[in-house]
Amino acid sequence: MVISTSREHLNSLLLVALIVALLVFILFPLFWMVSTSFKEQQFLSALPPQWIPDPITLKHYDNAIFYEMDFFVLLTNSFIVAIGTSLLAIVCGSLAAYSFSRYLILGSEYLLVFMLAGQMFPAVMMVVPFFVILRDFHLLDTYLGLIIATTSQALPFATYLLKGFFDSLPTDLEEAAMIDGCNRLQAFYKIALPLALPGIISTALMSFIVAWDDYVLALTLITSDARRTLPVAMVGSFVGEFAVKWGEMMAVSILMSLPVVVLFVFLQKYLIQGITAGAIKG
Amino acid sequence: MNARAKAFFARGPVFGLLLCSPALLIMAFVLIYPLLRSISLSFQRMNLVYPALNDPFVGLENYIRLFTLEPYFGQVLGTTALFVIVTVLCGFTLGFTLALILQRVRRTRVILQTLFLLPYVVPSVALTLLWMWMFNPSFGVVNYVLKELHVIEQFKRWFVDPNLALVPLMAITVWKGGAFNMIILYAGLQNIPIELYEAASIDGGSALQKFRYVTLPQMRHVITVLLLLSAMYLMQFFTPIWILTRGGPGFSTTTLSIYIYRMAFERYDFGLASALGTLWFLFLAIVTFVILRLSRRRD
Repeated sequence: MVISTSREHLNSLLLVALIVALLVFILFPLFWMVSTSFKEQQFLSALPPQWIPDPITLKHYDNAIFYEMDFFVLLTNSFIVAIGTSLLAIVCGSLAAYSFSRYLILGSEYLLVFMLAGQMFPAVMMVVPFFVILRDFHLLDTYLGLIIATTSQALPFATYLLKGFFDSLPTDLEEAAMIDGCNRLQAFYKIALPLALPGIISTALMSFIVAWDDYVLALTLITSDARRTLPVAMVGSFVGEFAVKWGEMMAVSILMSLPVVVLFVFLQKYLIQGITAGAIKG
Repeated sequence: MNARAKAFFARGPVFGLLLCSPALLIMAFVLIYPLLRSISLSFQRMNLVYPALNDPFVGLENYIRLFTLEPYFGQVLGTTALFVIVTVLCGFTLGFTLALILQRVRRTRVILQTLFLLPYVVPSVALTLLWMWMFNPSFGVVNYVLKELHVIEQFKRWFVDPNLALVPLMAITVWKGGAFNMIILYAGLQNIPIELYEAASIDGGSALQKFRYVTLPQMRHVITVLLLLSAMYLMQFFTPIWILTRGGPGFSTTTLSIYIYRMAFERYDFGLASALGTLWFLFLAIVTFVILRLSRRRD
């Protein structure tokens, strides 16, 4: 008994050590991003490195936002594309999901698998045909063109998540509504849609996270500075052979990460569902 | 849903089709049409730099050029294979470790899961810039730590040395991808019936034996599907590589996705890029089919 307890003790000590080591590996880079962004310029190149910024400065944030780039224009562009994408994804996605959940039960399996399989074809491979197609339709360098392209990355899993929400709703209310004289469309948007609202909101935010992360589509399909998104502009302004503006670079990276990290903390459950859905089912 | 409700909704198939038509239309526009366009482009000579030479049908010219006139094609395939194998295996090992830890702990599970997932959520471009700074040749913290630990003797110029340039790219990929592996594996672990572990305990099985004879066999399908999926994802890994090295120095970090992008948007040779894209489509279609068959069998 004594032996087994001390062995268990040793085991849990080892476990704690492993967890700590992994946390250092996972969190140190993020800590370094924060630390760098608040550090005085002359300490950025200090060796050994200054681990905790002292004194703390907001200069890099100030520079990045007001001098290095048209921060607010870029931010607005990114928001337009990400919000447009999530709107398109939830409007089309909730219609399709409701249909798969109620009407096309038999075919829904195949259609969903088809859509999720579509998500497997990566953005970079689609970029060449996207470019040619959008050019043919005169949608190159427009928000709409980019939004449609980005939707290809968000719509499949949005539909899948939303179908799960509609599946979990009882159908009695819709039936009753239709018996009382609602038509099928009214039963959908007056009864089912409001009930699925929490699901719709979280799916919209998930799609937002996906669109916010896009780089290659915006890089290729947007050609003018006025409509450029934040990630593309960040690379354009800070990456180069003689890049030295590490503080500004980290400051913008943090600003860019904040919206999605905040969303993530609240929406972890759905993020996990979305990822497993795309992977296992697809 | 009960049978009566089912029958009720079954009377409206046209309405059902109508509802999902916007989604299907979009998918047709962003998936099927581009796919067909890519195939048709692969049989055309289409170069934006020499539009005079464009030809709407050149047969297999692009495919033949790809295999005979592209000196780096073999090297690119090799680099892609190396990159994919190393990152898939390391990401899987990291993810499996994280998933087992999550299964093991109780009170700290939620907070640990959140922390483990952070790298997956931070936008790719932000991550890439961060690692670019960490691997900086003169002041990078990676160089400093490795030198202090006597792993390297002097600061390395990671992105300039063709023999080293893949290392930081793989590190970023594993760091970000571990969380993805963790989510899938943790979901798989939840589905193993607890009775199997209890039975193993009664038979006096050690933790290692339980892992070997219960966990691994039960997870076989999840693991197979996950490895195939990760390989597919990582083959198309683009953002960090493109930002950090653009496939260089030379072709030393050019993987398939970078290669296609370079063909299309450095040389503007859309025909050639589409030929390679089409071959890749075919390959992915086959792998997707295999994955679908595997996950079907699991159900």
